[in-house]
Amino acid sequence: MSTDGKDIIGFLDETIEGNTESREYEMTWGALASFLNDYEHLKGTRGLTQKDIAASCGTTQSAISRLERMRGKPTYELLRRLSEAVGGSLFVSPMADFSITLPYDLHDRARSLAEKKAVRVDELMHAMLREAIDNAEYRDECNGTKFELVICGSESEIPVGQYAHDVLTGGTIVDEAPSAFSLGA
Amino acid sequence: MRFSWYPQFLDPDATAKVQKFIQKDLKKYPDLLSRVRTFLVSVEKVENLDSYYKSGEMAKLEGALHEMRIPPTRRGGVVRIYFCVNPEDSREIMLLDAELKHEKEPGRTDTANRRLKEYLAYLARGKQG
Repeated sequence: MSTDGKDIIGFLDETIEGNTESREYEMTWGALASFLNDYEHLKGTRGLTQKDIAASCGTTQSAISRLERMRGKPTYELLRRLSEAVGGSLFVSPMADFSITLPYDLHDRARSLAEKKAVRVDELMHAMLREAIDNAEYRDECNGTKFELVICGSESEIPVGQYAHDVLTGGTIVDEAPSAFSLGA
Repeated sequence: MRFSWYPQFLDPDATAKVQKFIQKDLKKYPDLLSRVRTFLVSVEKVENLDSYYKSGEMAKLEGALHEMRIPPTRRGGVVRIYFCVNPEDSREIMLLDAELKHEKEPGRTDTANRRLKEYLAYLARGKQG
């Protein structure tokens, strides 16, 4: 048994896929595992105990313990109350492939940026994602030419959105213009 | 973060200890297998582990040895993954050992510690050579 150059996530995926029981479990309960991961993180960060959570949810500690062990079938209402008990809010969507949770180490930064811009965190995230995808597409259109931002000596429009504006007003200016950026004529 | 596993740095074809744990022990517990996968996917996305220490999902043990607790507490046993951060690359986690730990048992850190020393010695040799 060697790693064969695989990373651990790939190996775990392969292990789950290769075992009928694990595969069926993952298909049925994978979303709950993901919920519990975020729930435990918030619970630990706020120093809450099962007893605290049970009191907030109006249930027993053993019911919370069972849920945390992924036993039984938690109701929508219980999941909603659990989310609130740890200071969050429940999010459910059939679009898992297109839904992401911001990595934990970015939460404080995102929150403070949103406060600074007087918007909600989700509004900030949507705007940033849109901008990132627009920029990534634009980079592809430039045949993979590597650049940060190109300015051709005029104040003409630069079609890379807010990112361009931010860089223009305080970021790095790189001059090595791919033709697509030869603006301002 | 990126994951490497013992003893990949010594011999890429050698048996990976954490891999063996997954196949031999963890496979029997689909719920924990799922939790471990989800947890590691979330760790892979961060560049800084501080929030995991704050939440109690990771803890510093002796010296450079650390552990992941998946989940932090659970009746019936939890998964402990012993690891260290590459001192030359803070975005690389070296997975040294793993076990299914029950509440009253002490963690099996001696093996992890021995592997940690081996790993650090390997890095030191690289610097000299």
